[in-house]
Amino acid sequence: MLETFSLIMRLRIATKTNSTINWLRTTPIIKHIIPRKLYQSEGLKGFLEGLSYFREFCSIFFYKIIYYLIVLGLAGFAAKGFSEKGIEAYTVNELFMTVLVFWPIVGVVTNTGVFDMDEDTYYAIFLLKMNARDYMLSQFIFKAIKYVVGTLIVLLVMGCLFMGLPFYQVICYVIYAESLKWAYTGFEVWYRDKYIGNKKADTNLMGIRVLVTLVPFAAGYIIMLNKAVPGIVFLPLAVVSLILAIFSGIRMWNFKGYRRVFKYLLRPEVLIENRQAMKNANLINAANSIEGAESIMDLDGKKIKKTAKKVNKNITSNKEGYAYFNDLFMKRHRKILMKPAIIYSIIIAALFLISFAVILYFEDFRGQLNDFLLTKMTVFLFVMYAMNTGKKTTEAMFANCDNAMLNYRFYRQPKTIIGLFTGRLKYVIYTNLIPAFVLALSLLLLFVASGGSDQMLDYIVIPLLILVMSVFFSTHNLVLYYVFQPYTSDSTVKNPVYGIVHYITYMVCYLSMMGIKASSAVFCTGVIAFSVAYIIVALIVVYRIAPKTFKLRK
Amino acid sequence: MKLILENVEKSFDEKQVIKGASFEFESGNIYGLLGRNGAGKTTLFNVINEDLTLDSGSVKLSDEGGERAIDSDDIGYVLSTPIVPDFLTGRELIKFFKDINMKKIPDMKSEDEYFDMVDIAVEDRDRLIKDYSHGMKNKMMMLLTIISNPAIWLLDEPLTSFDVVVADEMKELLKKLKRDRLIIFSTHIMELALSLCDKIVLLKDGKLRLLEQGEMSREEFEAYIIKVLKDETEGE
Repeated sequence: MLETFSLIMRLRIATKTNSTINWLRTTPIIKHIIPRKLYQSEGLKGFLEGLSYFREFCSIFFYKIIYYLIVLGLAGFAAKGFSEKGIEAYTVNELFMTVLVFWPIVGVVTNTGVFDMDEDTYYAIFLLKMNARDYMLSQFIFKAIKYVVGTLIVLLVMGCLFMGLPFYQVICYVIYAESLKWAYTGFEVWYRDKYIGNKKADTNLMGIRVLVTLVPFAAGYIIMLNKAVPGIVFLPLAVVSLILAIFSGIRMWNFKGYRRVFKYLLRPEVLIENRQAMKNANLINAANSIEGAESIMDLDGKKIKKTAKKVNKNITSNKEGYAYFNDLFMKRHRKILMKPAIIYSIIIAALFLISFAVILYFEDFRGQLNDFLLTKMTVFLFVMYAMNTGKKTTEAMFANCDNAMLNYRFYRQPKTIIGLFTGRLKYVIYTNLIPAFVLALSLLLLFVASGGSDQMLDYIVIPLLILVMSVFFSTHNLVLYYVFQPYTSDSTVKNPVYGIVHYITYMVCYLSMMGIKASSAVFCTGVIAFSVAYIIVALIVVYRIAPKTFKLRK
Repeated sequence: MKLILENVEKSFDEKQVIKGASFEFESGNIYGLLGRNGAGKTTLFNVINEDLTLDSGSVKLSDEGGERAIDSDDIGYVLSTPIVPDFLTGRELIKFFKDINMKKIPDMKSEDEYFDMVDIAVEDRDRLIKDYSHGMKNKMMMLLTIISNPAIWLLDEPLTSFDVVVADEMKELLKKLKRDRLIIFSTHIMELALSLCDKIVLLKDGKLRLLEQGEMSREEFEAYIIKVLKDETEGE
């Protein structure tokens, strides 16, 4: 078991180190500063490895500190609330511990991580053929140790030293919180094994998780509103959960079927669902080339027939050539492309009706809404950013289409690239304009209904801003894809510049939502002017350089 | 028509894979490209197909009109791992490909005729390629090359994933097609190389060299090829 653990740890560190190196290697400027030779030097690699260990070590404390600070904040907030209401005053400490009685329950079901269905587990157990029990238990115990050590230190310092919590309560709390995890994990191991192969059981387990989380949590919330739970309850809680945990632990230790359970959980279709569309192809290829290939083919075989029927009857195109190709792509990816647009439209329409009803009945809100629309249009920059499906679309384009097609020379001809870009741009703009149009109309109607303004310009810029921003983000996302083509042929590593530009876009949208205080007329006109200029420049850039940049990264 | 490689060099980081390879391939021949794992066969194909840019040297085509750079219509490249778009059915891919090549190809056949050529079953023709087996995807990729019918065919281990019957049919097809074409065929299967190819070219130490069978019997030639491939100092 220890051997397995050290193996996993080394794998983890190696992966982290390599990804850091790779990141450095592909980041502009930095890659020039650090000469290539240095990458091979033991020293630098050692340093990065040390850094990775250090990161792993820091992660023990970092999130816990934040976590308990949040709880403390909540407790302080509640204490203030109580005293303001004039109800019996509780101390912050009492409320802090009260939160802690219920809080771990949430963590238990949301964060046990035993049956992590990720590709790391898949590689470890099925590719590297590690012992599944050793893998699972060593991961679990490692997490447990990390949790206990981290929490104890954080709470002893923060709780006992600074807040003056009783020492025994902190100890009991830690035992209680960790034991709960053991108890639940034992249950999950039993449950997964009992209902192996039963897909409904997977959904039920989710239901159980939600119930287990919500019920006591809600109960706790109600109790908390009226009364602080005395810290002494941690003593019986710790004892009871510890007993459960011991039974659970024995069960987990003696359980022989981990491999069986993992094999079921990590079946290819689950991996596909869980991963981004990007990495699928790899996993399926990997899955086919290793053991169990036959059963995988069976599973696939069943799926084929279903999809085949669907394809024949419903989705065809009567276009020709590239238009035919593009058309089929769009139609086959309706789920990613069109569905969100329609869902957003419905949500916006619903929100519009609600808002409309509100201002109809409550005159007070009219002024507020009017004011909001005249001064806070910045919010919609972020809304439009978040609503745009362009980035998702480019991911689908790459994973299911360009990844394969860019291998063909005819597909890389400048004329083809530009032609397809134009077709795609039209489609992405069109789909994103649907909800944008609903939103623009809703805002205009709300603006009029809430009193409007005496400036004609306001009536124009508010809806226009929404439409222009929709076109802007659609163009932006597609242009970035064509200019940077960030995905490698094995779909894993992204061009860091692409990531950075996307991050900057996000930050700009977010910060302008939070920070910019400008009247809508000024803001809208500015954004519209900028967008139009940007779109023109971006299109010129794409038509110039995409034939060179839009290619597979080898 | 000739495909002329002159002093082709290609490195990845510090590792030089192709070290000044020069060779003239002539049409009407099937060339068997042999080399050990990692010798750079795929790299060489990628260089010829301009998927990778050369560090130095040149790849040119020479025909009646003299020497010229290679055009995208000149080459068909079938990769060892078949890469075809998942979201189309076999028939749709063929239709699309026919559409875009309509003007260039005089005797275009129907989709089903093409499917018949590579023996793809009727019930599979309207299924999504995503659900095709490895061998079937490989057939699809081969079919695209058959349809576009370029002058130069680069085949990277293409027959290995076909079942024996299709592999045999494909061999016959290649032999039929080779007359006015130039086919370079990379493989690890000696048997296949010797039975299909007219000439054996070795990629070793980053260079290309022709191995002549001369008076040798097939067994002797086989032994000779392996000896040359093994020999560490050969070719230096």
